[in-house]
Amino acid sequence: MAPHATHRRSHRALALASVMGVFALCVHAPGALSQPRRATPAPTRDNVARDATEGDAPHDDDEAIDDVLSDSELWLDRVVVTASRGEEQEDDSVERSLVIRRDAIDRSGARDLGELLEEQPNIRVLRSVRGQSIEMDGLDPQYTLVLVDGDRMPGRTAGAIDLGRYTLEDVERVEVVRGAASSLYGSDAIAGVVNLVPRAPSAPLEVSASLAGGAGVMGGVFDGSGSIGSARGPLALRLSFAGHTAPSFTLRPEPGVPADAQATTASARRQWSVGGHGWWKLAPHARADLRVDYLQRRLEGVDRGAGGAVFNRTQLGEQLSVGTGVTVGARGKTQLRVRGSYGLSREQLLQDQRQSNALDTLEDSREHLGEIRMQLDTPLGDHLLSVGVEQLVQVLDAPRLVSTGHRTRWAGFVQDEWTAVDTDAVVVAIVPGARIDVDTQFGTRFSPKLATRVDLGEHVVVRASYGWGFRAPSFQELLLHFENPTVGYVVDGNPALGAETARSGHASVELTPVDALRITAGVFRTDVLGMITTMTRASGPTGIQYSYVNLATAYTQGVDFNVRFQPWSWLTGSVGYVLLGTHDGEHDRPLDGRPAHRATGSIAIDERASRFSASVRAAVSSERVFYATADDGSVTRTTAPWTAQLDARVGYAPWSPVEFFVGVDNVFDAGDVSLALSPRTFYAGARLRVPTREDREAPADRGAEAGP
Amino acid sequence: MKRAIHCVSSAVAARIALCALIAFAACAPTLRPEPYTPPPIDDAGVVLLDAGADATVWPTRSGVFTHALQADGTLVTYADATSATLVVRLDLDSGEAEGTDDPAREGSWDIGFRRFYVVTNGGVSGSGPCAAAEVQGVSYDALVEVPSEVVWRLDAMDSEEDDDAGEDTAFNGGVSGAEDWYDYDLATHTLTPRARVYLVRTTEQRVVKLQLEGYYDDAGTAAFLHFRWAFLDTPSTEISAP
Repeated sequence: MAPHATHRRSHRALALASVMGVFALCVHAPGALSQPRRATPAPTRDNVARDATEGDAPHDDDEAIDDVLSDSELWLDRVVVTASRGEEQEDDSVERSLVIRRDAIDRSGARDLGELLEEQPNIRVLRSVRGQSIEMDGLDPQYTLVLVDGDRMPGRTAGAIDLGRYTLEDVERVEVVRGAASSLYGSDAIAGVVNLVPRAPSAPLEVSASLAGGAGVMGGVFDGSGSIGSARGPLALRLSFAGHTAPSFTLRPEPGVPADAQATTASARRQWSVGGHGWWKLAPHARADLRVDYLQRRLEGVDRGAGGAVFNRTQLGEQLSVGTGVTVGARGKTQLRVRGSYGLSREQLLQDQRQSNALDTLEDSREHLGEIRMQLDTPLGDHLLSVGVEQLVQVLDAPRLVSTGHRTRWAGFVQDEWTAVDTDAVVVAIVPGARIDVDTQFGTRFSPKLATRVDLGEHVVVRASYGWGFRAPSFQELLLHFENPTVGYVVDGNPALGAETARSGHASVELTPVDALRITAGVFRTDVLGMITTMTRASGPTGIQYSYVNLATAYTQGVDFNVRFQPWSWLTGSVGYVLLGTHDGEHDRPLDGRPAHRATGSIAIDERASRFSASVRAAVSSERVFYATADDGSVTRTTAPWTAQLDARVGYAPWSPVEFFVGVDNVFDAGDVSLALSPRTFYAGARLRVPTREDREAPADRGAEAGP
Repeated sequence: MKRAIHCVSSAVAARIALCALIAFAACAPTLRPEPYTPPPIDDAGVVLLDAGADATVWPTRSGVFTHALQADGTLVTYADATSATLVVRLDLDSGEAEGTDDPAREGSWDIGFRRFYVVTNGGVSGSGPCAAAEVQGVSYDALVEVPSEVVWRLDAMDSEEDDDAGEDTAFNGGVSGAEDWYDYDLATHTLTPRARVYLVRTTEQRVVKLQLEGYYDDAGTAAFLHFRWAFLDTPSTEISAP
């Protein structure tokens, strides 16, 4: 949408208008805040990268690179694609996204998506034996949609996508949009959407590699990744690989239990992945791309069951993801996009009981997820109209299901981005949108949304949005048959389940008194209705039988503040605070484990003259309350203490393409069984990148040291 | 021309690379559990039980039951009651297991187990005269004879008041499991025996004191009950109605 939107936005300097409730802050690339709002159409990074592959310009490679770089460096840092399901300038977006760009990813030292997000405002990363999951705005992981280049991924376990699956070597940026987005994305987009946008090459040869190792009390970690890319003529291609190992750890050993029989809080991880992404310019205004990724991940840990049974647990997962698409049409004009994706997720879960074979289990599950979608964006006067259709097919074959799960879902959506008022003093944009999903299992679901953005001069932006969201019941909730071997209770799925629904509202005020400072204050609330919960269905010969029903309700609400600053080009920082309130309607009490207060902050120094860089990221969470119900129905309330997370990293680049770095994750060694953070870990490594950032910036000849 | 060749070669290389990537799909090996071989049990061994006046020779193992004589002379029996639907039955008078496929539940068995449910050969559970009772206020070791007043319970149909799905017996029943022989930790799904002492009247009109001591075997597998028990010297002659 943005390419079309920008042509009419171009004469209004700053503002767009519309709102979605996203004002989350991000760790910004240097210069991001000081970049003036622009009064000319803005090429996007993706388009720039794709333009680099165009063969219609009769210049040689070097000239092409110069053109590409000068364009890309001017604009690429500001493009987002997730909030409106199309390219647009970040500052012009109706919804504010949290955007973590490549430089910030590098500086963070994060090895995967979980580590990258864990110290961001409004987000908590939860670790369990099954990996890392995201909690956004206090909502459980199943309410966040995770995309790769806009493609939906299979492989949710217990409702959550393991963020550790996503390494970052080929990621250009991570975009996070808060609030219900089902009007564009359909199921699961209740708390928000996380989208990993791939890195497209823009030079004839691009090479990057990183090698790091470290150690903590739990053992050693190793991380290696690399990519090679090339943009020549109409083609661009990037191949990437990554490998990662980390040991398991136990945060609270059980007294009297031998060390090798202690239950692990988090699993040992051995993971490798390869991927390739190619772009092809088919015609002056037509381009295609193909992405293939494969990942294999092995998690190992020790579980202790009821009665002291000890299990060696192994989870061997592999994911194949393929996405391809064609875009026809020029930026700023009618544009048609057709895209298809396929994902295969296989998960083997082996529970090997020690000293016995009685409870050995092996579950081999395979999920197939295919999606095809078509979207047409067309400008009509002050309107930018987007319409689209989708079809999704999902199949899950798992041992615990009474039959193979199969569903097909058709969807159609429409969105109108209307600039209702456009004066020098005020710009008002209103974005109504709606989507209808027709699912073979739960029927029809309607998801409307209304967003608005009001620009009051150049320094004040008010955003507000309200939308409906939904989450389709999982195949486990529909078709499960599980019998607890200890006490014999049975959990059966309920094929008659409906989708969970949500009502989500966000509002914020964003002040930018100077380019180097942005202050945001907002409120949010999400009500989830018809939540799926378990209830007693009957007592059978083998014990009590439970099943799933759409009976529970919950809400989360809060107030948040964020300040981002960049007093000099080499220094960026942010601080944030969230006051969160939650309510579990089923039990009439707050939701388990949510901190009422959470503060985050980051400082990044990137001093190029001395080739020195440093970053610190921190998050402080208040007490978290947990509830446990005893056999007699009594409820015990326990409180987990305050937690302070701090990561630090220092880098030095003695030669331009090479950087050496050292860092510490979890400096305060925070974490407990209710918040399973990896113990303090020291690491060091080296990174190679060609072309260097200086090489890329040279043609533009910009004043890197210019202050605000 | 050169440019065209270059483009074609790049495209071919890209396709080869992508095909290679696709070939990785589903290439992970299939996991297998490591088989565990338990240590052999000496089936030739016997346990001698001093049943008052007569000494009885007991099998070490019969069916799913294994008997062991502790150093202090206490007899402990282990029962594999892992079946969700079949009751494993034991004749306390002989130490022999009885078949689980008897639909009439007749025979000389005295006590039966199905996971955490414990039944006796009487009432709705069987055609025999067996019954059971909980003895309060006395420990297992201190109980050396049948109390003068025992309120025997015959197994009855499951009542609507409790939240289980088994017969109401001296071992199981009550609202929220108040009369269960175990405590149930809802958070960990762990059964822990309560320190309760029971009497069981056998088909041969003998009385056994019995205490359930565990629900898990040494490897932690559930529904491997074990209990200590002994005959009491003074048999009861009357079974009162529950």
